[in-house]
Amino acid sequence: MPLKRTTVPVLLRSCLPAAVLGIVPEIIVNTPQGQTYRTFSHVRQEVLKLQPALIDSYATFSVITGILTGLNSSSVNHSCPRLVGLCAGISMGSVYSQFSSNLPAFASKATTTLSSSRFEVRRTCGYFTATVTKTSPHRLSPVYSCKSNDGKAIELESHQTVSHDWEYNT
Amino acid sequence: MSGIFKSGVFSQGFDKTTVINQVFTSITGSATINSSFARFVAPTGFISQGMQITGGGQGQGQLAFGTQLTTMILGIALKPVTFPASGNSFLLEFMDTVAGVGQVTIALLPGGQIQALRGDVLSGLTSLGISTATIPVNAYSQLQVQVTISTTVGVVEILLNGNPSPILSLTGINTQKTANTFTDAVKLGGAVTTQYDDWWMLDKTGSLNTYLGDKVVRTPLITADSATVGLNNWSTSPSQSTGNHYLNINENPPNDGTSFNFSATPGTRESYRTSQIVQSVGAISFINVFGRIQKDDGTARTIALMARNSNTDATGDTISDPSSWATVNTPFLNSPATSAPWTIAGYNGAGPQSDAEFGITVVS
Repeated sequence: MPLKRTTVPVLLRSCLPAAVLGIVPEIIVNTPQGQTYRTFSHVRQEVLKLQPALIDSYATFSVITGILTGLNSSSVNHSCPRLVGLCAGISMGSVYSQFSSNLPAFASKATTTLSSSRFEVRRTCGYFTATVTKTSPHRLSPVYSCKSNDGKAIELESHQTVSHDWEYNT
Repeated sequence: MSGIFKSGVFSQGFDKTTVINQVFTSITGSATINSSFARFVAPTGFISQGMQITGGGQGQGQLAFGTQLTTMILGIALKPVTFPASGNSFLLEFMDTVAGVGQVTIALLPGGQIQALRGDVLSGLTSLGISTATIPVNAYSQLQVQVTISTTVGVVEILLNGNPSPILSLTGINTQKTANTFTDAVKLGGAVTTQYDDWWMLDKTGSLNTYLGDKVVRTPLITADSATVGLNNWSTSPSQSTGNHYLNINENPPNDGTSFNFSATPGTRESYRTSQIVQSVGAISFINVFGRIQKDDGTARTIALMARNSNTDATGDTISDPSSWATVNTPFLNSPATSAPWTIAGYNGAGPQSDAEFGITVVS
């Protein structure tokens, strides 16, 4: 009996020629919560110059006028987050405009509806929503609302393209 | 490429183990790995840990490369819990272990600036340059550091948080403290308590030989056997039913010898799926597959680690199976399905488990 007791473990061990107890992949991928310097950073800066509602929500009308002037002159594609939040994954909207209007008249009014406007609003990734929010204090946005041409508020869906009027309420 | 670098890359997310000796070749002082030190909270189905080295000594944890490099790139996220009150606190040391001396040291100054120095505490330090940019206290920043060891054409270049514009760019300088034109180890830790995470290095011999950017090392849990019938054909201990082989290899940390799968038949394999990557944006630089393995008989055995994507396999280099439990790894820079860099969508597939699979096969 003592001899058998000693041989049994030896036999058991010999049946484990190649054993694995763990497989773990490490995936080296971009930081989703990185602070700055994404591919989008240059675009973001240009956007910030033109669109104070992104982060500096206390922007004055003069800046708004600047936005419209810029757009009016060259139909620039620009981006605007639909929501501003702390984490990645928050949707944002991109606004593309093709319009002409009386900008001084717009700037002097508290509420102006640019009925001749044609906008395409698209939701894209929220990647630079996170980066934007980390670079400045959070502030409450003034009211921007998107309305379709029939006057109803638009709830954007992913990659949806909508024609609508643009309304800015001070 | 040799030593700890395979396909020219190395990665350490501090997620696979809490045993500090499995991270460093040697360690002095106190270092701890746990989730509270992680740079990012783990997404569901992932492990996320970081490492903290308690302050009080300069250059406490050393990882030997097993090879001698004239030039290399290192990326790491680090969080100084406090700033040094005076002097500096080492963040990184590029060592020459043959001479036992640091060639280049990257240090933190009381104001948060990053300083590059030649030499180390023992051999004497010479400042090479100080960044204007600063890093915050008690918050993670990511540094990418490129060094070239030379008395005449030395380089120290430091990038912060993925910004391609260096915060410190020193070229044509003397970065060689010893008689040797190489670095063969790196040390972490300094005078102030500092946390580290998301560590990767390039030996600049592979296809990845320039800055990767601000990267996170994601470590998913193994959550299922292969989606393909027949790809999990090793024996199991304790016995597991078909489809549940993964239950023997998904412990964190590994429970050496308590549960495992085994085989001696060449060509047999195990293939496992993982959690899906939850982030939808970001480029995967590479995937490094780690296996904890052992052989338990007197015969020479070899295995290979595998990756699988869209039903296409890739088999890594043949690895000798050691007689005691050891961690081995094989990086897969490209998806087997496309021979192009992995994508998150390709990794995830339709779900709910990953389409990507990782495993092991008996070679001989």
